[in-house]
Amino acid sequence: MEPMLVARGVSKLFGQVRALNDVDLTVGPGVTGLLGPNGSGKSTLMKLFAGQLLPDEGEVRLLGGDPFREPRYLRALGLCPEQDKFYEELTGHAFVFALTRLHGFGAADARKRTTSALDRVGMGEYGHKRIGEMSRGMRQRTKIAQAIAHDPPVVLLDEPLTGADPVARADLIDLVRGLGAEGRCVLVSSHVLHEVEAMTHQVVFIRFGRLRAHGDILRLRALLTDRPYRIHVEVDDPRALAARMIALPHVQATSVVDAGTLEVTTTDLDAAARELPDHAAALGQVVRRFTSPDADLESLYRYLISRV
Amino acid sequence: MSDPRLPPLPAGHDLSAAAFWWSFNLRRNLRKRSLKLWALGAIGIYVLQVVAGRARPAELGSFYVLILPPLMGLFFGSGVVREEIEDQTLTYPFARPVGRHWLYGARVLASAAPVVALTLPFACLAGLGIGPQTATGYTLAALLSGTAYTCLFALSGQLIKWPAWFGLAYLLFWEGVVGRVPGFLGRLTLSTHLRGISGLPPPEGDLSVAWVAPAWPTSLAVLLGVTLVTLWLAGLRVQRKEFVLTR
Repeated sequence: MEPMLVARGVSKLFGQVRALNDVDLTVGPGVTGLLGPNGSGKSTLMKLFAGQLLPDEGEVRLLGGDPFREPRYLRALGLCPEQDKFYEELTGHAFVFALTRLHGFGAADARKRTTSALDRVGMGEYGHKRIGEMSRGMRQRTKIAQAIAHDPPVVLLDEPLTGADPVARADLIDLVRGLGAEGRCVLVSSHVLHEVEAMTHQVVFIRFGRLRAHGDILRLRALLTDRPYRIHVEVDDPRALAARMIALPHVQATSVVDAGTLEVTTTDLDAAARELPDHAAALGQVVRRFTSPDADLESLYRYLISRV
Repeated sequence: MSDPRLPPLPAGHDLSAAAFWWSFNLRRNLRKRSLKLWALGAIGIYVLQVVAGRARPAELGSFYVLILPPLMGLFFGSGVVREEIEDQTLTYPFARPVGRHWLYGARVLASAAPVVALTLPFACLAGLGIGPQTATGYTLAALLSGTAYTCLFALSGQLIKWPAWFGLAYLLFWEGVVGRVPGFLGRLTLSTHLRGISGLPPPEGDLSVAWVAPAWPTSLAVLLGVTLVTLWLAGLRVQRKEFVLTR
């Protein structure tokens, strides 16, 4: 079966500016984070998948169909756009209801789905409030509700956490993970890396309109063999451990950060993780904590966007 | 063959979605403050004319068939889609499984409805001052006038960068000047055919003696044709064009 979202050799120009350049990408079920600096082409890619724009080169497919020329394929799509724009005079319920009706549901069914979607995003109590009177976070949740009310297999969320307070963010992260766990294809763009990391380990990096990387965060990091990992190890005597670790072939450097923390620079994270407890035990020490500041999404992101 | 993961749509979905979108946009239009101002003007002029005792039926008929509908049609028609681009809400309907031309048609007719609603009753009342047959002619003409002008100016909004200026120039020069010319050239204007439908008197001026109203079936066909062709052309344009709201 074809992946749910496909971009083949997609380029998009706005005048002289090449917003996307020969992008090949397939996205399947589950949550995928779309990352890149401002102006990298994330929203353009979202709009192409949503049938809002046409590629200048290549083709875009949504469940095998052209979302721009064959609007019936948009029945499979839930789009939460980036812009904070609404029919301000409507209530949240009326807004979601109207857009759900356009997916082919009768009034009673659409009303039920609207109520359910608003409940799911935590807006059940506020559905009858006018959108113009809502806080940014409530507007954002209402926008997500209209994207999921019709139960689409593909959901595109462009910066969905913008404006949400910390509690709402946590709720929305759970919601996004839940959508992915239900087998939907969820493509979510965000600038807040730790939030994307909380939603998924599947990521797509875009920079200057080009696809820089696509896959699992840890696998991607492991592929970057030209850049060693730093490991922070909390032990009683970091100096003694440093002397043993430096002798290992994959360890490039060691340094004592403080009285109880050793930093090891290694080219093989797995080997270091495997061998470190044994070396510590040989010295009669116990590893209290083991972390790698270079194995997280932020580190990967910084590294990828720093490469031209 | 469609992907089995694609949820099905009910039969006749485009039409039913367009009907819903028409009523949705009509309700939004009726809430607009600008419509209330136009209503105040349309009703006010009628009341003033009647209260002042100067209400000559043909003059009132002309106002509600030939003057107010094109002005309102320009005001409400030329902003179709452009308003949604400006307020960036176009994304929402265009991300739905409905042909864009259906959504456009529904939106234009929802803009034409208030124009018709504010002119048709007064055109009918003005016609009743002469007789039932005239009232029928004025009513039908007001209906066609509001719809045709709104559709025409909505098309101009899709093709021209400054549709309001185009509309004003069109009304002043084409309808205002060319519409007074007898013969073939005059028949290229909507106002000539609206006179043909309504039976309103010929335009004032030196050429009025030579002015002959077209037969009403011809005028009816022309006005319906203009309405349908402008809707179709603009629908085609909207269907094929990509609208860049933000980059």
